[in-house]
Amino acid sequence: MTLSLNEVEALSRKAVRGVGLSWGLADEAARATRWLCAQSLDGCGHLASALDTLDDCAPGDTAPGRSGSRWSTSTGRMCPLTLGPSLGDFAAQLNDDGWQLEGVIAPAMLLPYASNLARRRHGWVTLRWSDVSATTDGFGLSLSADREGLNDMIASRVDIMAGGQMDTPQAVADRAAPQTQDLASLTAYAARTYAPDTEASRLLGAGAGRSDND
Amino acid sequence: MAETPSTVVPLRLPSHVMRLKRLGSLHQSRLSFMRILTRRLAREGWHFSRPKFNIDAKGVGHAVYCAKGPDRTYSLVAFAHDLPDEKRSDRVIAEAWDTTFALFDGTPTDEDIARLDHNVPLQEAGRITGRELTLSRANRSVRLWAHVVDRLAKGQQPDTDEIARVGYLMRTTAVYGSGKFGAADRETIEGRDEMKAPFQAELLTVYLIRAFVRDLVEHLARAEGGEKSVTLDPAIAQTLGIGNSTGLGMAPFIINHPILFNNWIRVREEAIARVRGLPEARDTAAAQFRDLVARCQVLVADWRSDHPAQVEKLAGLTRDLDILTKHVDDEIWSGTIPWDRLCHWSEAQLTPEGQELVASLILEPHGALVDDLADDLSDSLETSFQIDGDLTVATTREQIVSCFGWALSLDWSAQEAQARAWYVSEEKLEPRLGQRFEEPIAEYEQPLAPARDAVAAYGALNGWDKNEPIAEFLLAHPEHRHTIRRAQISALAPYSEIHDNTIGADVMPIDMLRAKLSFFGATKFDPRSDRWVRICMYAGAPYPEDLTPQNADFWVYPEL
Repeated sequence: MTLSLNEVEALSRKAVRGVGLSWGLADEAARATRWLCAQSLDGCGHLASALDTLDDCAPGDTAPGRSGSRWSTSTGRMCPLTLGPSLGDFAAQLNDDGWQLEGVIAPAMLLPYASNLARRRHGWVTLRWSDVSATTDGFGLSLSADREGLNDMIASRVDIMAGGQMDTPQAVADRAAPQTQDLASLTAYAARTYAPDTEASRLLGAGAGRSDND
Repeated sequence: MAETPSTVVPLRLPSHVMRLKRLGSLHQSRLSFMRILTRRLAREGWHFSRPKFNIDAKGVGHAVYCAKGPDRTYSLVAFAHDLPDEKRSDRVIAEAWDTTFALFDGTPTDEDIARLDHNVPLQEAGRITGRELTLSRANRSVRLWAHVVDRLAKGQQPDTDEIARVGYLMRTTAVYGSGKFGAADRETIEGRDEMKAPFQAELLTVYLIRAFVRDLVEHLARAEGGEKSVTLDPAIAQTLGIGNSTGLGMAPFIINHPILFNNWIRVREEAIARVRGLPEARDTAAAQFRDLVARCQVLVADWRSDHPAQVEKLAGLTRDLDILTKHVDDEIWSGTIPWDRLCHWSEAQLTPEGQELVASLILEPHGALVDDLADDLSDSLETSFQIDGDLTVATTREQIVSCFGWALSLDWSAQEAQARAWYVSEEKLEPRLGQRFEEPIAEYEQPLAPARDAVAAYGALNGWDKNEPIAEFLLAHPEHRHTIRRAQISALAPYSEIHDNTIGADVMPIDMLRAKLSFFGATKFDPRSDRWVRICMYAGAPYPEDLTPQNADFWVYPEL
């Protein structure tokens, strides 16, 4: 079964909120997951991996701090969904030193945010960690042949810098085919955003109680 | 040739237009999405056919209706079911329907139809694919359906009073598009000319459903009455629309899509301002306006509701039309910028319902001047908008004041200011509006109170250096990210925010529903509570086989 990208985005938004991130971060994480799927990558899998780790952490423990070109946390684990938006926000401050991002959970989730950063800068941006080298022009994505590291649960260090080459752009996809267990995992996180029903809410909430069968 | 405005009339201010009371009084106009669609279908000479109608005497089976345009064909695949009365419910949470539909992108093969047969009747419990653009369902209006079948079977036409009282034989309870339940994403079709304006796939679906419903009622009358039976008088058939029940689920849409909603409002405001800036009224334009006012009186006379709020608004609108009729017969057209003067007059003399009717009606004689604005209704920025982290704290504060200044003086600590909370229920996964202080729902609240959140962000910005980039604030306060985003959007899109409290004790979600549905082109809003509304779509429209450039536009207004 394939999902539309709209379904991926809607589910991701709720799932991210379900692990306790703010709605604003959830909106952007959902767009990010969709973008990964549109680049023929396993967006749902990478998001599920991120959320599995984040669900075991207090939000404050994984929120990034910034000191010069270094982004880090005191716990050594950094939330890519909180870090990612800030990369775009600080786009103007990325200089020749690049940025060093320490302890990034599910680093593949940073790729879409790097694309936002590239768009803000009107130029290419490259990320490197383990065997992965990824360049984006703000729209597409070019990945190194070696890319085992895409599935890293955590990267001790990700380097991000302006420039790069778009040698092997990813094929564009308009559907997503997530793994069953990732879909189940995201669905379970998303369910945390639903309020349990009460008799009062059934009667009050939806404005029922009036015949609609005429 | 289009006339040219001589005077630059400023757009009406967001603080005026974006109040819920006014949004809840909007009317369709020539820029409504249904009318954009019917004009296009006629202009481009779309060809309609019914290659399949495999429905038995009990009304069970399937049918296919094709709409072939210059570049592509779209096909409504319709399934008709035998639904026991006790299972019929217009609630979006129902599990069985009289009819179910998908709009197929192209011409379906028998395999496609078989696949859809296994899924479409299940609606939310089934799956469709990227080959389908919409998924929808409709239920009979029980009384009118039985009456019409019975009459036609006996060789008689239905009672026109009965027809007018209901207005439709079936009402849809959902028309899903944009990738829902597996359908194609909007992004995959938005580049097509015929799909550029908003909701064209959904509204083409409804337009074809209307033809199917007429054919189905005639088919069942024939099955019952045999030789004796007659077909529906085309004049009566044309008055029938398709009803729709719309509940709370649609209300968050206009908050969740601020740029898109801005575009709808801004396009209408721009069109109004263009007409108001015209130096004079052509005789033909004034005559057409007078004619449409008269036709609106018929439309409003047939507009039924027993919801107290709407009853009062309808009484006001009826009075407004009487006053307007007298006013436009006077010598109002001779001075300068007559349309602008008419609008000023309406603001002093009419209720908001009447004012907004006038604002929509003045566009009617001026297609050449305003129809090009239809190209600006959609939004390509919504998904690509990015926060500008370089903007300063001072600029952000100004943005919040500019858009939410009215909310800064509200006492948000008062219970009535936050009496409601929007949430999604576990049981049905549908949006609901609850009582924050009476139910355990606050922790599940959806971000549908932009004004309250803007005030909170404004408070959090206290103590920050005014020259600090907002990126620093957001790094420390990611919980305000959605608000800063909206504030930056509002600077580009001044009609993006509702200028009222969407969680106050007195909020009426039907105002939000009406605002959205008016842009679709809906008429006869009939609130059934403060949070769901019935409407009518395509009443008066020619059926596909009768559609011509001559009748494709003004069908909304009943002929006198």
